[in-house]
Amino acid sequence: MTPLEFVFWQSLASAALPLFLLLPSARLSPPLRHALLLALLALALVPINGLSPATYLRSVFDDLALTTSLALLLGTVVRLGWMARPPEAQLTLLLWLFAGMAVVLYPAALGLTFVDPYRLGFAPRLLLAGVGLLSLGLLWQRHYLGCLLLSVATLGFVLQLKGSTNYWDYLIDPALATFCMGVLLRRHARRFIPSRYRSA
Amino acid sequence: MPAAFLDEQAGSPTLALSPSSPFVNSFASSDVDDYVHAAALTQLSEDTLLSVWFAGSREGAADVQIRGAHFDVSEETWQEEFVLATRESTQQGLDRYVRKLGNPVVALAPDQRLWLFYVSVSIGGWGGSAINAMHSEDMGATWSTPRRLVTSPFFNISTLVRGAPVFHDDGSIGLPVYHEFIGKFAEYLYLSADGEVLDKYRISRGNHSLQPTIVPTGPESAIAMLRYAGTEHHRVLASRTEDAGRSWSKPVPLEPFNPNSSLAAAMTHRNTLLVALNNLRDGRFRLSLYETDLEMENWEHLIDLDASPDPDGDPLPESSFTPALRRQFMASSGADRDDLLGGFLAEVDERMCRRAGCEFEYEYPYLVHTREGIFHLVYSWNNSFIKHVSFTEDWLESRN
Repeated sequence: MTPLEFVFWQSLASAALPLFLLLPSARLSPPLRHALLLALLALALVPINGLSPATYLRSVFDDLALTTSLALLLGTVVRLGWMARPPEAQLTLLLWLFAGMAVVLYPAALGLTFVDPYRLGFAPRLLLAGVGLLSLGLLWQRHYLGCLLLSVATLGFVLQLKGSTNYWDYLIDPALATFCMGVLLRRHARRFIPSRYRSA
Repeated sequence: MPAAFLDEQAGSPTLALSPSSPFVNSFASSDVDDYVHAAALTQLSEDTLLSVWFAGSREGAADVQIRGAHFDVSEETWQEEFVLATRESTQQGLDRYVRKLGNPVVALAPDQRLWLFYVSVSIGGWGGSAINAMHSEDMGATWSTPRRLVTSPFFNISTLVRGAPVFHDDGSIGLPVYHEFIGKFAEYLYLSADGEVLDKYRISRGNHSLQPTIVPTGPESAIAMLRYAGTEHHRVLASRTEDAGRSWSKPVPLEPFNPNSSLAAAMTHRNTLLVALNNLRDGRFRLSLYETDLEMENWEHLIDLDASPDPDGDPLPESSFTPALRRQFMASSGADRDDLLGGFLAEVDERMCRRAGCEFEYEYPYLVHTREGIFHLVYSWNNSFIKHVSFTEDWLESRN
């Protein structure tokens, strides 16, 4: 697959799969779920003023990280019933992992200090070593999903599948960061909200 | 082995083409209908310059195009302007929606590849900008499709260009850039000879500096001058590198004022800096040329390139504004463009006049020192024309 073909399929998936996962498609019968997915994929290609919705979304959100794309794909596969949902503890660990990456990367990218961790992604020997160690740790913990996400991101970087020459852009993007931090915040905010204010 | 700055003044200067006068000016642009802004300039050959700028119905409009024109040095004339990039061509090349285009810079690399970097926005204001790169292997006759440089982890938004690229002796390109999303700070990008982003280094941090202009002063030393966007001292900022842009000193305020406006600098033949700027606390009604030493401690005013007749830059009533504008036009346009006066004056009301009165604006200078020993400066003249001023080293010598 050439980088151009990859960009096409990735932008298509980035437009259709989040919508498929956000819609209450789990309530549909399996054939209807498949039909809904196909319909969303087709909708993402319908040109509006010469550009498809997938292209518009890519214009705003840029090309998603490979980890995000793969997570969307796996989420879709689970929703379609082709694969069992991974254990909750594994998913929670991934939420913390990507939220941690976001905390390291994004505040400094806004120019608050002279330190810029994004630079580590351009000549990423150190970052590759860190992600390699992390992958080994996940493998040791039999966390194959986490290991797969990081490995695919690394492979994508080696093959330069995206327009970016920065390793970080294959590992994480603001959409994934927002999702992970949002889920964690929602879970842990409950601890600090008095029970009388919580919804039943 | 780290890269070093390429000495672009080195080689054998061939002063075959001397201007008819040591100080000449003319309009590079020729369209009287459009708002024009953010000019840049490069030397293509001993006899040809290329200037680029953006033009459209207003800044940020969807019809803004990147335009250019060639200057024939021996004839001292600007040729007809042409379109280099549009919103549509950029959209098609990037396969993304593009809302508007912005600042372009152009530079001829030592490998004779001509580079055009320009800003585009898909959503929001200039904070949503990204940089696009196009190159030409035949001096601008044909161009590659635009390619987006990925320079930020935050949806790749908020990176803009304005200052002249700098070339390194290993073929890599130094591109001064700045960010305008939440923070306002400057960076120095290292690009490969093919335009791939190799690395980037922060020149400043925080929320008060942008649009760096870089002047190499030695094999690994350079000065960055920055536009000040803060609210404290309103002075030009400067930072230094001693390792070819890999680390920069904390920016410090200099003597001249800066009213949050772009400035340009170039090295002179006598090891000083020539700086074009609005040395004002507020407004852009006067653009001046200064010379300073490499310590940037002693500043000498050389000339006011353009100035409002009102010393404080206050708005003028149309009755006195139009005659003054007419005089300035005739002094600036050059012989080839003076027939544009009638059409230009018909557009004045909309572009330069408000209820309080009419204002002069001279801004966004871009300065180049050629191998032939001539300085070429382009800037926005009342956002209506791109004005070109050229002067020789002899003229500079005659000023002091």
